[in-house]
Amino acid sequence: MTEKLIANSIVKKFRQGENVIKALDGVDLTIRENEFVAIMGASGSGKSTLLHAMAGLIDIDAGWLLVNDKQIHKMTDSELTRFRRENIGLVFQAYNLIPLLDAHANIKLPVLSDRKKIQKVDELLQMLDLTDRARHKPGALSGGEQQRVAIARALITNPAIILLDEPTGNLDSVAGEQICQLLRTLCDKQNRTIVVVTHEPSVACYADRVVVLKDGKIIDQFNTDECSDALNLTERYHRAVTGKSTEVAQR
Amino acid sequence: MKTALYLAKNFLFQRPRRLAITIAAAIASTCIVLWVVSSYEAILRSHDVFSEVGMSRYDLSVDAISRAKDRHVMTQIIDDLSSDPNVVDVDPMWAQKIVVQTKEVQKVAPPPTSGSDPNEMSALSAVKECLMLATDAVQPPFKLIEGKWMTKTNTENCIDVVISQQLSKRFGVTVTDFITVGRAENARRLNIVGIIDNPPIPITGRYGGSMTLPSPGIGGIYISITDAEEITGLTPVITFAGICLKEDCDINAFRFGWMPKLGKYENPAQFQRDHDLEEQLDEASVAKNMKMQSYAGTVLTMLLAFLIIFNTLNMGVSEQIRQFAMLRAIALTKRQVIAIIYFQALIIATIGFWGGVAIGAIIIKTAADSSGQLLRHGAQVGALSVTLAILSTYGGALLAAVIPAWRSTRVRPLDAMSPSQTTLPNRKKLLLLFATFALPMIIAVPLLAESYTFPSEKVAALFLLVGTAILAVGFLLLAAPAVVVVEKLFAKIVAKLLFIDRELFAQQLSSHLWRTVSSVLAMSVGLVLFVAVQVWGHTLLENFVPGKWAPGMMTAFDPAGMSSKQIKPLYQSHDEMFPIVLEQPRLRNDITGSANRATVTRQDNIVIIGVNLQQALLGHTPLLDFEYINGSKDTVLSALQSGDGCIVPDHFLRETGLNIGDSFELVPPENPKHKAVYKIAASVKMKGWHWLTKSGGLRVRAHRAAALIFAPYKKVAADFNIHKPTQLWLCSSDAKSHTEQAQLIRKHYSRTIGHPVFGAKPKAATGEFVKSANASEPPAYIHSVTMDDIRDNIRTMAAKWLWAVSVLPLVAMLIGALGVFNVIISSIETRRWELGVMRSMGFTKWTLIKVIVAEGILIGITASALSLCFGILAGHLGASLATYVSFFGGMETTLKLPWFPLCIGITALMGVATITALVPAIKVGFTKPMELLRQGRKSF
Repeated sequence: MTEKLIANSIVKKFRQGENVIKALDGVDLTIRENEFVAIMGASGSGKSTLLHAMAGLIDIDAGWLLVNDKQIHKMTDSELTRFRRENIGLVFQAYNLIPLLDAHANIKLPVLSDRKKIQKVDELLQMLDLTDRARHKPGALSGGEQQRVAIARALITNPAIILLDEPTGNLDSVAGEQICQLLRTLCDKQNRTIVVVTHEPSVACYADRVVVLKDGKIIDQFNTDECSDALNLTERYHRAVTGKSTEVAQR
Repeated sequence: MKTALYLAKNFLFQRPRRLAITIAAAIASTCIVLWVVSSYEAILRSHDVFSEVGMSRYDLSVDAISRAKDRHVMTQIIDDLSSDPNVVDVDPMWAQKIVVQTKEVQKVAPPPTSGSDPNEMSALSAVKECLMLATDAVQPPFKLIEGKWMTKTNTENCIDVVISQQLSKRFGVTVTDFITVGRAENARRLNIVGIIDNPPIPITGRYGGSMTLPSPGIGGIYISITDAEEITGLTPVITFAGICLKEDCDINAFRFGWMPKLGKYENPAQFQRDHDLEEQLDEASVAKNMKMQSYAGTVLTMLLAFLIIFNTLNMGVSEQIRQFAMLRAIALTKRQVIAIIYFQALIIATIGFWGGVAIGAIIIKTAADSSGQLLRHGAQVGALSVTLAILSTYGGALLAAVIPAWRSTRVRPLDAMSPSQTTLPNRKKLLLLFATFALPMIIAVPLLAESYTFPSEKVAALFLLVGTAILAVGFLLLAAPAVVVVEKLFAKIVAKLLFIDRELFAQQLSSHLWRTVSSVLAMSVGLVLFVAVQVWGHTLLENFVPGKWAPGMMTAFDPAGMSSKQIKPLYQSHDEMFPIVLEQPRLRNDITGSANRATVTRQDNIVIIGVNLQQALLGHTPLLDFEYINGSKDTVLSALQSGDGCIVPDHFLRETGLNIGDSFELVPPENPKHKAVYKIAASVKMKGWHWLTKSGGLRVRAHRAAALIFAPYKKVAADFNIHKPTQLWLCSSDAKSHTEQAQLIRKHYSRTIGHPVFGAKPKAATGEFVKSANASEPPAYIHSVTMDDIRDNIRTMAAKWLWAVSVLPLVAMLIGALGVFNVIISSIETRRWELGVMRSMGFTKWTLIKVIVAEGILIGITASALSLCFGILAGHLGASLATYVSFFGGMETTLKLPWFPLCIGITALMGVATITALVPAIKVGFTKPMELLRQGRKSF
């Protein structure tokens, strides 16, 4: 499998008044094609910053980023926009659908000027089990449905990489599980590379690999098949973050 | 772009109510432009129509190149042109303005005064000016509608004239009626023998105006040259001549062949064709004024459209930051996001423009059909109206999109993940910076205007333009600090007045500062203009109102007047009555430098009043109660010993460079060779003498005078060959006494001339022709006017005019209110959750309503404060600089604040702001708490 996404010694600093905070402190990460990676970490660990950097949504202060064989940190704003449109699908925690447009219109938004791709909307609606909700506006859809519409919108450009920021954060457990299964299917059946930022071990379970961040550094990464179940994954994650097992921590 | 257009449409329709209000404002703006410009366009159209047929049967006309007052075409030119084989006919024409005395006798109810004759008749009388065109042309220039073309009549008492169709309608006379020209003993009757169908004279060229078009279409009265000479007593000159060419003559070859020759005469001349007439009309001052008004209206509405559309787009960007961020993250470039904003602006402009054109055209047509007074210059929606409407609506919309578009590009794709707080950490500093820049701008301009004497009219006009622009920028910068200050100072008071807790709307305006600022500005546009117009008008008006120095009442006799002997018993038995003689002679040497001034400020004559100064200046209530600037009552009285002393207004000394004791010479109109020399005994303040001469009928020979001068009765009567008192002046200021005196004078006058005398009310001086050929003599009447009447008349006329001019600003204010409406609605939209929580906690609906209304009131207070300050400064600046543009004859432009209209303006604005807030407030107040919470949750 080829490398789809390479982050090399990435540094990202934020200034808060007179203090400089290193959100990413020399992160090295390689994600291969058709891989499903979950990035985990406590609040403020830099997991979302890493995802934003990989999407080209923020500039990095040092290091380099190779996404789909392109050095995105060197791109201009409009080059980045085009690159994102063609290569990356983005899904947000808050869905970010346009309230006035129905599901169908929201999905076709990124490809309005491309007739061929517009035809794919129905296919996606069917695939995501949204056909009967196609003409509903976001206000009339449940959270899970809205997130599925958001995923469909990310898929309409047929991107090789899908980046998701806390996709199940606003959903109940059943809807969350449906989304995770959908992502797994996309990875397995459509060979897409999926990176999901989450703090929920139940979501990370669906990934191939879990990357754990702490204070802007990768402190651990492991394949999910090393864990027997979600509980085991949680244990491993906790150990990585706190240096103690869940049991000890609980005690 | 397709994506951008699609999204623009959807974003706009996300807030249909806001869109509807914004479009309504854009439609109203377009309507205003159409309304203002359609009048100008109608004038241009009338020029077009006139120039098409104004040349009549003539192919060309020839007139003098010089624009001097005494310009004329040399007879040599007429002779030379007549001998050209290509010329069939040359008809010389003499255009001369003449005064027509107009009267209509009608039965009226007896006046309520005791002792009056119940059968007495009242005559309304006026003197009207029209253009006489003297020509010996053998055939009429235009088709005769009625009667025949006049010939040289020249019998003792009968002069035949042909009048224009317009004059016939204007005065209500027809063939066989007569009109009277000249006054008093010089009055002559002219018999109307025909009416011709000349083209409607455009308002710009009517009755001669300041220009005389070289067209036979301009005449009101057509008369033979000999008759004209006789009735005017003037030597005829050729103002222009109509030229008929042979049919096979090449008009261009003829014209260009003659051109060099025409330029070589002592008085060079030029040919004029129909298009030259049109050009001249377009350049006339009325047309230029209308053009200026059209452009000013366009700028005003563009500003309004800008502010309201800006408000909508800006609020849209603020509310849709997350959506823009998401779009930036998944699909759109910055350019596409900018395109979304501009497409929104264009959609609003397009609907506003077409809606405005449709509605505007209907309104104009309805107004024109129902009341000609509303559009007194006529109305025509044509290319110019539409072009300026496009400019205003689309220009305003595109300008309005600049900042929102820029803001939209500042939205980061990252904001889709976690929208950044749009806080301005340095806002305090920014506001201080704004105020620091604004205040010097606002203070410097009026200070400069007051302290600096501008060398020319052009520099003053430039300063007015630049100064107003600087003031505007200053107030724009001050708007944001003003919102914060008003909120700090007034929120507590408003809260107390409305019996609500101030915390309930704490910093609601300042936390949405920019949208509040734009709505404040949108509301201010109208009130600023209103205040500026009122302050400017009243500041200037105050100087036109005659001061305390003036006599209490003035009485003139017509048509014959009374001899000195006849009038003597009157003033001898009444100490307060003074006979006066008056004349309006030219100054022998151009001591005021009028030749170097622009036409409107050119005054080469003065009005001189002969009065017994010894008596007029003394007594318990003197006739002329002057404030002396140079000299005193004593110096005047001692100078009177020499018999040639006179009192002049103080500005006369400044303009002429003369001093007390210096002399100047006047040219008696009837005896130009006589030297009428006057020595200046004193200079005095003579506030409002200008309109006293106008309203009191003292300008007997010209429209404008350089000064009003008082000299001894005998000297003036002798110098100007006046044998009987022209008027009687009264020094009492008691209204009852005026009525009694007027009755007394009328009865005396009636007894003297042996037949009834009619009283004329000066306020109703809208006389008409005697529409009867049987009336043997024009009826005698007296014209009494009290100084209070003159003052009231000036104030009423000015107030009417100022209110007429203020209509547009008031309409602008109403349109601006739509901006506030949008802001309040937006404020409610974003606070539905908060309002729902408040209602759930137990706040009543009325509390909610009052909280929202308080916002409207605060916006109103800010807009009023800014408008008042800016309007007063701009109005005063305009008044100060007006003295450079027109002749002010020493008038001082002391700031006068017309509190009554200003209060009306402010009350209107506060009312509009409150109502604008009240409507959505009531709607939200009556919404159930759960519904508010539900709606509020949706907006998260």
